[in-house]
Amino acid sequence: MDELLLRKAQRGDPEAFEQLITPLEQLIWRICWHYTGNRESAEDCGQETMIRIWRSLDSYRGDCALESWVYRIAANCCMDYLRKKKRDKSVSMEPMREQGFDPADPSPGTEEQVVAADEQKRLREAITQLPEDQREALIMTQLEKVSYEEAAKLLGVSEGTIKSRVNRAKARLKEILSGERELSPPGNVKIDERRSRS
Amino acid sequence: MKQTDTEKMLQNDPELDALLDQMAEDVPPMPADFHDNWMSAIRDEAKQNVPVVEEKEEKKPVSLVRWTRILSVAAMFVFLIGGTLLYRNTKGSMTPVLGAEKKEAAVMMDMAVTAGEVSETAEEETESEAYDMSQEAGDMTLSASLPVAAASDAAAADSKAYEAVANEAPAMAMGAAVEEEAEYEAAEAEAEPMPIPAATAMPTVQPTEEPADEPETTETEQPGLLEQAGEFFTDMGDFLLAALPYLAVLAVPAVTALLLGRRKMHKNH
Repeated sequence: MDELLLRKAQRGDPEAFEQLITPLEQLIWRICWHYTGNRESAEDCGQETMIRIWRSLDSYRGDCALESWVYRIAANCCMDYLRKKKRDKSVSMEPMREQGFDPADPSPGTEEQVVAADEQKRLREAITQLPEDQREALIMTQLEKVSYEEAAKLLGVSEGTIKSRVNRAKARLKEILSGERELSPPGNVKIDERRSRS
Repeated sequence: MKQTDTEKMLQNDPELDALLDQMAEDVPPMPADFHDNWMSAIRDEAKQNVPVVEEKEEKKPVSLVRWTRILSVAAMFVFLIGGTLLYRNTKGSMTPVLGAEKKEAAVMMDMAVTAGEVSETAEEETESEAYDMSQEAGDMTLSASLPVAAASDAAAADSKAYEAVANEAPAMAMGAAVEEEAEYEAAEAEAEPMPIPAATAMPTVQPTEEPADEPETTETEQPGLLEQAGEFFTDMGDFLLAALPYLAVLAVPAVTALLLGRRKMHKNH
């Protein structure tokens, strides 16, 4: 990281900020996507994250890596966004639709792709049902592939706490997914029918 | 930020882990306008915030510097004036012997002045007293000689003669004593007025206290403002000299803090 660039950005130079943050742009997008599972929401969260970084950049003292600092801001931003969504009772339940998948109108593609998309959809929905702390730990360690040690630092808890949260999240996900399989929603019936036909 | 092998071992459900891995990899490409959108938002923020930041940067150092200077000057005056006054008080209380000596000298001077006046009155008094005393002594010797004549005339009366002798002896002795005293006092009055005997003569002269106060009042009024200021500045110099070791000890952390502050400022710039 260029110190001079950081100083310029801290003094309010947008061009320096652009040069500093553009390499982390993809990371921010990934985080926002994994938390929201929705293209539009991810874009909103990404933009909000950038503005938050810009506003609080002068508080960054270089105590930790800029990547970790940005990660923390992005994660907080996404969590705030989801909380707000939840309050508005309009939590996005259509991430797969945003990806172009609609169970009622199966898109062209291979059967594996359709099945995978459906499973991902169910998994994502299950993740949204997890408690906040478990969801955050799971996304960080399982989707973002952040180490337990780093996740513990980012969340300000012990490594053991992160591990237990991840394990509990996985157990809860299994429960949700197995329950959904037993109920077999209409979309899945169609997929199952298509699978048996093939 | 990559996971270690042991951390991966914790993932004990292959099916779920496979799903999670797939989800982790399956991230849609970033929208093309994502960069432009957030950059335009940042530029708008920058336009809104720049004047505020500049105002803050301008106002803060000026007010800080001004207040620092005002407080520094005030602290310096308090230190100098307060320190000097305290030093003067301490100096006065630390040297009581000198103060007492000064007072004593002033009292002695007053006494000497009053003694001059007293000695004149005393001289007149002693002269008259000596005259009275000598006359008294003459009378007493005359009265003493009467019993002696009576005794020679009437020798038979032993008891009376005894009484006459008994009366004569103390009368003679008293007369001699009074004469001696008168002579001594006359000689004393003629001699130059000594301060201590004059002091012993004070109680006899009633109005000696009033003139004693006069020289003191005239002495306190005499020093002018310039003299007082001069004295004050001399004391200030003495105080600074006395405080020099303490100032040197205080200067060490102050200079260190100053150097560190300058270094920090230099670093920031």
